[in-house]
Amino acid sequence: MTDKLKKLTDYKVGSCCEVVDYVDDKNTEEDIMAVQKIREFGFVKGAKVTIQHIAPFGSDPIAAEVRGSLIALRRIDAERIYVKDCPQKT
Amino acid sequence: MTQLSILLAGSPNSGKSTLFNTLTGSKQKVANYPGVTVEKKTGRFTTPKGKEVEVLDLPGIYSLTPYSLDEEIAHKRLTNPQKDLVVAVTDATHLERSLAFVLEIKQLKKPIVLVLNMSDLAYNKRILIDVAKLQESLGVPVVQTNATHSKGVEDLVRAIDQLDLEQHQQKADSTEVKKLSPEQRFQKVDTILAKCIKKPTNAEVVSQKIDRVLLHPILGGLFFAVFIFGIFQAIFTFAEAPMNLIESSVAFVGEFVRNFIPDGFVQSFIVDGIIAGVGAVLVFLPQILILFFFIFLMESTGYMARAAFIMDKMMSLIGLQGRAFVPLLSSFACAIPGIMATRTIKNPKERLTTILIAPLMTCSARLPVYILLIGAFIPNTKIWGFINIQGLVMAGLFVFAIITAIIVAFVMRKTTLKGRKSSFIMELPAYKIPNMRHLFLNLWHRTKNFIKKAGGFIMWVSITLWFLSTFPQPPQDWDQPAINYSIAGRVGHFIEPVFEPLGFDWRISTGLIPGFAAREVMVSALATVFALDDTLGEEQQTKTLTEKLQSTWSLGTGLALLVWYIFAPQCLATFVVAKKETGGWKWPIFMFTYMFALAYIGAFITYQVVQMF
Repeated sequence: MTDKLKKLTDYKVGSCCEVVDYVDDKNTEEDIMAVQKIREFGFVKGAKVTIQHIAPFGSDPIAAEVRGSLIALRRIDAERIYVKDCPQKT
Repeated sequence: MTQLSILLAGSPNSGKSTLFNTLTGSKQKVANYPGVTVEKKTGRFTTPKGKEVEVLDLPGIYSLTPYSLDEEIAHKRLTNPQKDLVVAVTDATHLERSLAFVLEIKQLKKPIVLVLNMSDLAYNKRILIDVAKLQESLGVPVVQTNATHSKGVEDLVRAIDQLDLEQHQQKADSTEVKKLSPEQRFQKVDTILAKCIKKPTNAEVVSQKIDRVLLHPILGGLFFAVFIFGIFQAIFTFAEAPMNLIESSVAFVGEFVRNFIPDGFVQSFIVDGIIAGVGAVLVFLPQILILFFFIFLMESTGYMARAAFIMDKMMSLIGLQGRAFVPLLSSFACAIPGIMATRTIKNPKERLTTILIAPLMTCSARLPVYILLIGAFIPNTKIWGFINIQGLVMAGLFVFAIITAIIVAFVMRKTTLKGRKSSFIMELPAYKIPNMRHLFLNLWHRTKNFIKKAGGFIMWVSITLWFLSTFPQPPQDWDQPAINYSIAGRVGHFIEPVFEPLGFDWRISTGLIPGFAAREVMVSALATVFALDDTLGEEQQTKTLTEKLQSTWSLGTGLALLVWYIFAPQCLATFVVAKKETGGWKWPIFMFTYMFALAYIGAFITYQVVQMF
């Protein structure tokens, strides 16, 4: 099921997505802490994320808006987040 | 006279430092937490009711989970059973995030006062906060402040005054608080926000509009390049006049003293020892002031985060991160303020690496020596019709230094300073109009610190070096340069064999000793060694010196000395500042050692290779 989900890094500037889950195939302490930190910055399950900017050199890091704040994170961390398209407003 | 201890906790962009400044004014002290390079800011103020309050401004953090040294220190202090009042400072325009942090702090069983800072901004953005409901939902007193004005902080001081600490401590002790996950915390925050806050949908328009340019893939990069170039230029050019002013003032005072005190040891001690020593410290001030002005400006407007964002990828290729860029760039003007500027880098290993390679950036003090040596040993001709070889060599020296710095950083990060790349997650705060008064207050504190800590030491060493270069004085019939008779001269001759393989003669090895104090001193040291008439003007001295260099030294020696100068650790102030910023002599000594090794090897190879032709 999870391998059908896209990662945050698959989305382009201006697009909106919703956090679904986190990559957990690696289990080093570093990875666990990284995901914990990502969550504490607001990327919790169900949070709406809008990609706002991509850095000029090497397209890294990216800046995404979540919970009203603009957060910058490196691709290596953004890749830990599984997302799906934002539910369309009716 | 009741003593009260307050811990100021909050995220880096909550305006906590401004609040701290407003509360404590000039009564603040900056030190280091024992053993680490994190700043400890304490201050005090007295409430209208006469309570004496001591405030500790904790490092700005986003959560209590210790990912970084800052968070560890804050966590440690907050869990300390000491009786404190925690003043949780939040940005009223961004409570979605800051309230989560407050919920975390509630678990610590210390009485809390919640401060909704920047409430004027919130009002302007039409964010309506029901303070009473918020107080009820959270169970802690809530105060709205505008930290930029002392009036805006009066309510907080009054609230602190009226607080019955015992009662609140009891309440905190008896409240059961479960440890929540981030998801649960944010859920709780959302519930509270729904009850207490009305926020119009797009409150951040201005900031977003600015970012559309400043974070634009092309325009943003362009603006950044121009801005950084501007800072660099500013340090270079605007510092020049004040520096010349300081130098001529020092010389003026020296002359003045010379007229009052007769020739002799006392006069020399005061003029060439003390006054010159003080001058050696003061001369760095203009560059420090200018650089820090721009750094504080970038931090307080919120642009610093964007700069780090843009530069992060390039920096991470060598094991550093975005924030290393400003200190390294400033080191091209002078490594002293550059090293001081590494405080913005949180990861200790990355900060250390940055400090270690900062002196390799070709600083402005090296230029007089480069110009002298290039003028003497590199032909003033053009290749391919328009490229001047001398200019080419100069540029080459710059580039060579940068490449070496990159290699050193890369190696350091893979070996001794190996560490996991810090997770670079950072908030890009909304742009703010900076409070200039606070900016200059901070500038004043930073400068005062520098003069106090580094100044004393530099002055004493300058005096010592003067002593070594002057005594003992030669007898009347001495026909060699006076410096040969002094301790420095004798040491210079003694260590000459060490430098022989590099093609250095006794003149260079003697000149290196006073030249250790500061790089540009080497030129006047050489002038002394060649016993130049010191009544000649500077330009005439340089011309004569150039001729003497050409006639005394081979091309190999000249080029070897040039290469030596790229790397050589010849700036006392750098080590003093490095010691202060790293909290000990271990790293400055390491810095000295590796730079000396690079200089020696580089000069050796250069000399031997040139000698072969």
